[in-house]
Amino acid sequence: MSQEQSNQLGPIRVWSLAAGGMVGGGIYIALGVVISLSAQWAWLSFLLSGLVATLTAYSYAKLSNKYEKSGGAFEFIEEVGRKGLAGGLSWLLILGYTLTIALYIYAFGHYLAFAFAEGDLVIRILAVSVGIGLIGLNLLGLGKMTLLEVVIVSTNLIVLLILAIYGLTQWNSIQLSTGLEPKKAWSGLVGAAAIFVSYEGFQLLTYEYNKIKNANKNFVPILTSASLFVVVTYILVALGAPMLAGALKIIEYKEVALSVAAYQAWGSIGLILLTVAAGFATAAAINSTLFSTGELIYRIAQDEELPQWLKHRNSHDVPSRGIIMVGVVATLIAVTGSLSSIVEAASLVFLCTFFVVNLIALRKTNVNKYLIIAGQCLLILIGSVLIVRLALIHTIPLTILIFISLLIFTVRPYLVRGE
Amino acid sequence: MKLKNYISIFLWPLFLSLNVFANDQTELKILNASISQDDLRIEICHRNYCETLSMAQQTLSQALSLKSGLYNFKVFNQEKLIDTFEYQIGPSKYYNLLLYGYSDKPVRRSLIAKIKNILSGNKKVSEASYQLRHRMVDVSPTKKDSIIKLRLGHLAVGARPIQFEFHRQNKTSQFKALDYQKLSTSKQLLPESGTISARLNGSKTQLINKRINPQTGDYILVIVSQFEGHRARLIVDKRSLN
Repeated sequence: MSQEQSNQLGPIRVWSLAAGGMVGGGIYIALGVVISLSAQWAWLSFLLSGLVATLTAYSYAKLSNKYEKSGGAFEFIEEVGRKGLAGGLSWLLILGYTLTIALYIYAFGHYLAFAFAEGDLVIRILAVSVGIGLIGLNLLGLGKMTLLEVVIVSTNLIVLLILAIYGLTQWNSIQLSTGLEPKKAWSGLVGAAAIFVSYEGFQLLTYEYNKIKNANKNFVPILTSASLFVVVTYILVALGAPMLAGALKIIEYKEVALSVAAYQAWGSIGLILLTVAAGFATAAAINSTLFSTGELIYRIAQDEELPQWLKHRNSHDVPSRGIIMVGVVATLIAVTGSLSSIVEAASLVFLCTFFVVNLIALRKTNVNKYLIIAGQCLLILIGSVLIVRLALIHTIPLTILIFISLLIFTVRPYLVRGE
Repeated sequence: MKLKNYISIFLWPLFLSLNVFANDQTELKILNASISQDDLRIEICHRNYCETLSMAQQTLSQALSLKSGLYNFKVFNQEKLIDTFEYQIGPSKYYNLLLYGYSDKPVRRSLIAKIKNILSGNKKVSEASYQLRHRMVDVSPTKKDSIIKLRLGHLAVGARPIQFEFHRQNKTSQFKALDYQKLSTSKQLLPESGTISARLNGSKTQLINKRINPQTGDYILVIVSQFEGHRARLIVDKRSLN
């Protein structure tokens, strides 16, 4: 067996990386946010966002098979001859990944500090430590350890499922909104808009497409089934965790909601178990997102859509400058930013990207058109709610995002090519 | 077999085993930090049963023992309905319902305020002319170990951000200043007596202080409920399992 063949990813590993990439860190802090917005309909929020994510995963897999290239959205848009749009959107995507990494760093700091009953200073020290530590690990060429990642994500999924199922055995429907004003079913849309980022992880696998064994045959079923599995897991957690802690408690401790649920269920042992799972899951998610973003930056720089100094690999064959840039910015945001604005600004970036990718899939592949059109309608609905929410509630992050987007689409050509 | 029989044979044991009809009591206190010249009448209804409380401003009610379920709250001032809202209660919880703002006029909600309320979830974002607001807080004491929890809040209409401090024999802990209608996260305390004090952020003058004596497992809620001149009012609610 050649070295190249032995490095290829088999179906089980690909499935685990896809599911783990999604569950990685999002659910750990999305739960409190979604319950505060949708109360007893939190599960519906995860379902609505999950349907859009699964249909988009289906589009990504179909497009990857068509072009048989690693690179995700950037590659797809370039293939349809819209190089300028590919460049602009990929800059936004890099911003989205940076915010996502910041979110995972934030979650890591909060979960570990909570277990040791520590406050703000320790949260910040932990956040900076994990950010710098994982940048260092990546620069040494140790960023992609697929086997270790598979073990971590499987353990994480098992812990989450045990917690959710144990919660469901304590079923009492009042717990879904205890201490809250009951919400109408359509509030599920508001929740779906706010936590969309929890599903973005499946894209990372499209950057590894060339390493997947029998990708043409396996990629569509693996990516869509992993995505569906994550949707079911999130729904179970959204129903199970409130049974253990009560909805109000989950909101009040939204940064560490699952730790509180585990503590209520099994005391200190539950807290330790969940903290270990959260720590490893968020660290693995930071690591893999940082690695993939570094590779994406290198790939985009190769096509002259990013400044050329980013087209650089160090002695370990790692795109070091991109990794340092994204890692440092993400760590700074995690230490100084607020949870809600991070989550939602990133969600908007991914919704825009997914919309474009689904459009390309509709035009260029044999996807089930009715499914993708239905998904696009839902995506537009969720996106509209998110924009209204950001405009009314988080005006500053939305203004910053619009400003950065305008800057990217107007100034970028001068920066990269001196046009 | 008829549908009803199916339900009684198969679904009832399932519902019972899943604890669907749990009926544990919840302890609710109402903290009226609102400002009005007259007492408020608060009507609390669950299904066909209603209970009525009369509360002066800046007071904390006795604990009400409630069955879990959906409750409708109506707030009256001089028999005029000021606000009405619903909360899902219980089971087996300790809650504090906070009322704050001016409670002499009915609450008016513009369309934009309603949209903001829907889009912002549990977090009230607008001060809206200091109208009457309400918020439920979970103040359940811990039973599994010796953690003491302390939560601080600023519900004093018109006051600048407020800074809290907790003074013990040899140590003073300073907490982050809170804006109007903000509550802190839960802080953990050791079981030692001390004095909690409040002052306006940036000022050295203490507005008020109160001695507290935390015991293991307690949940202590400390609210600055009114600010006038150089004086403030502090309401402390301590919940214990025993």
